[in-house]
Amino acid sequence: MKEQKLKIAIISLTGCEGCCFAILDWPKKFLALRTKIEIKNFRLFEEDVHFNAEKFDIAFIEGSPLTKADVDRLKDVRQNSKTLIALGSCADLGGIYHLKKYQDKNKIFDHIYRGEAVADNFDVLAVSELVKVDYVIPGCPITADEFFNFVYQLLIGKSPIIKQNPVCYECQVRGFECVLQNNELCLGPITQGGCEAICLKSKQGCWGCRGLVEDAEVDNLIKKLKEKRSEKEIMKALEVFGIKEQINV
Amino acid sequence: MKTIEINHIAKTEGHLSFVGALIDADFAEARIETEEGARLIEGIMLGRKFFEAPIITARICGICPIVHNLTSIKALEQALNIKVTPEIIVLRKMLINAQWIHSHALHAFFLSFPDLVGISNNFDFVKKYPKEVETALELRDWGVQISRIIGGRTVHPINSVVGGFNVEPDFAELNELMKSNKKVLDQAGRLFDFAVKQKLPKFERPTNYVSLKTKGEYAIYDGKVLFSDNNSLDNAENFIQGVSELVMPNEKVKRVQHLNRSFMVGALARLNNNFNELNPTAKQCFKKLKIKLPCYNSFYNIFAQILEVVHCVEETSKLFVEYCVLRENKDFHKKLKISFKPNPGRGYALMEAPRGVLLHDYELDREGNIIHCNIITPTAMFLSNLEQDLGKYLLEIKNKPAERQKQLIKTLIRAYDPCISCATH
Repeated sequence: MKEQKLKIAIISLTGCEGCCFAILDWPKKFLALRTKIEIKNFRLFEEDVHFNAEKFDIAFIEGSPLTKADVDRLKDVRQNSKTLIALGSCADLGGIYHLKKYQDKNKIFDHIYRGEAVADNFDVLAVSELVKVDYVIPGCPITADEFFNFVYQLLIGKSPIIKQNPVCYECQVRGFECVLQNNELCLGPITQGGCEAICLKSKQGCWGCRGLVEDAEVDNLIKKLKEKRSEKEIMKALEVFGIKEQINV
Repeated sequence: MKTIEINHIAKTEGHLSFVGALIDADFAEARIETEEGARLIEGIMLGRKFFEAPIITARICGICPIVHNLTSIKALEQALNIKVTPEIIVLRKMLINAQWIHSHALHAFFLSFPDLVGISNNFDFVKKYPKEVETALELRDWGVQISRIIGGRTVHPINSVVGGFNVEPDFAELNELMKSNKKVLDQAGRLFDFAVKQKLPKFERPTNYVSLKTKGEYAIYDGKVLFSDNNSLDNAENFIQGVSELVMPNEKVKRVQHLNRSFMVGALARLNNNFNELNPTAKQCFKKLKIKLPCYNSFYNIFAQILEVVHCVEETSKLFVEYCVLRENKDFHKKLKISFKPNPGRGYALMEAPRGVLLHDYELDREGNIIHCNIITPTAMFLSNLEQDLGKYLLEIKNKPAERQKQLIKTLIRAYDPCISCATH
C-alpha cells in the first residue's frame, strides 16, 4: 500500500514573505521534501487555493492577521489542521509591524492617506491571540535550518523543540566581539538563540527578534544597560520585535 | 456589460485580485484590488531613531529587503550630511546587483515563466524542466550567497548601516565565490536562450518609461531620472516634486503619477532607456530577441529581467575587480565606515530596485528622531500603467474563451512582477 503523504500547508498572511524566501534559499532541500510530503497553499509555488475546510496535518502560518480575509483564513486553517505552527516573528510576536501599537493608529492612517482613504486598519496581533498555536519557529526571518528540522521531526512523529540558549551564549561560542562591552545596546543575554548570533557576526547588537529565552535574567540586563543608556532608549530597543510585551515592563 | 473577476492571484509577492469590465466594443476598464493589511510602516517610524529605519524598512519586503535597506541608508546619509567612500559604494553596488539576480531569477523562472509554458503548479514545472530548474536555482543561489557574504544574511541585511558597513565582508569567501563567475555567466546565457524560445503574447501600448540614468553605467545606485516619452533628463529632486500619490477608495495602495500621467518602471523601462550601457554578453543575448527598442510590449518585462540577470553577473565581476584594487589601498578598513554626528535635516534617495525606481524620504530632528517618512515603491509607480495595459488588453482578447482570457490576464499581471507587500507597506 502506498504510504499516505503528510499534508502540509504554508499560509502567508500580511507581511513581507521573507520567511518563505528564507526557506527557498535552500531550494534543493525544499524540493526534496515533496517526496515525503504534499505542500499546499504555498502561494509562491502554485495557483490553486485549498481552503474551505480542506484538512491538513500541519499548517505553517507566516505574517500577521491584518485583514478580515487573513483572520478568516487563519481560523479556517486552525479548525482543519492537526498542528499549527507560527512561522517567524510576525506570527509569533506580532513582529516589527506591531510597532503600530505605539502610535495612534487612526492618526497615522490619516496621515499616510491624507484622511482620504476608507479602509480597514486592524491592530497587529500575534497569531496566538486569535487561535491556539502548537509550536513556534521564531526569528525575523526564520532560519531555514530550523524549518527543515521541524519538518523532519514532525515527519517521524516527534515533537520538535527549540533549544533554550540565549543568543549571548551562541555569540561567545563563536568568539564574536561583545558589543555590550563596547557600550552598545544588545539584547543577546535575554533573547532565545538558534540564530547562531548572526547579527553579532556583523557587529549589530541583538534586538530580540526571536523573543525571550526561558529564565531570561531581564532585570540584570536592564541594570547593566542603564549604566550607559537612558531608560527611554532601552525601552525603545525592547519594543522593536516585541520583547517588551513579553516581559511586561 | 461583461465583467471578469480573478480573486487572490497567486505567484506574486503579496495579495491581489483583478476586476475588469468590458463597457462597450471599444472601451474596457481594469482594476487591481490589493489585499494586504495596513502595516503603516511610514507611520510607525515616526518618533523612532534614524538607525532603526534601514532595519524596519527592510521588512517591507522579503524579496527585495536589500534595496529598501540601502535606499533608506542613502536617504539618511543625505539628511545627515555623510559622504561615503568609493569602497562603500562598490560594495553597495555588488549588493544591489546580487539582489536583482536573485529577485529576477525567482520571478522570471518560477513566478512568470510557468505561465508561458502553461503550467500552474511549480512542482509540475520542476518535474518537466529539471535541468533548467536546477540551473536557475544555482544562478539564483550565486546572488543569494553574495548578499549573504556582504550583507551578513540572505533575507534582511545586517551589515549595511548608515555610514557604510560594520565589518569587512569575508574576503576569502567572496573571492572563492567569484571564481565561479564565468560558469555562472554561461549558465545565465543558456537560461536566456532557453527562455526566449517561448513565444510571448502579442501586445503593444506606448507609454512613458522612467528609470535612473548614469553615464557609462547601467544605472542602479544613483543618477538622474530619464523619461522616455520626451527623452528628458531631470534631477531626482524635480522628479520627486513632479510625483503625486493618489489615494483610492477602499485601497491601501496609492496610485502614483508623474505630472498627472501614469508611467512604467522596472526591467523593461531600464532596457528601453539604458540599453547602450548593458554589458557585452547581455548585448549579445539581446540580439536573439529580434526586437527593436523601444519595446512597448509589457510581456517583455520577463525577458528583460533575464537579460538583466546576464548583465548583473558580468557587472558583479567588474565591481569585484574594482573592489580588489581598492582593497589594496592603505587604510582600506577605515574607509568601510564613516563616523558622523546626528543633525537635523531632510534627505531622500532614489535607487533602482528589481522592480524599478524606489524612493525613500526622511526628515530628522536634532536628536536623530524621524519626524517625517515617505516611501514610494516601484509597484505603486507602475500600477496605473498596468491597469491601463489591462484595459487595452481586455479588448484585444475579448473573443477568446473565458478561461484563456483569465490566464492571459494573470500572465500580464505577473509579467509586471508586482510586489503588493512593497506597494502597501
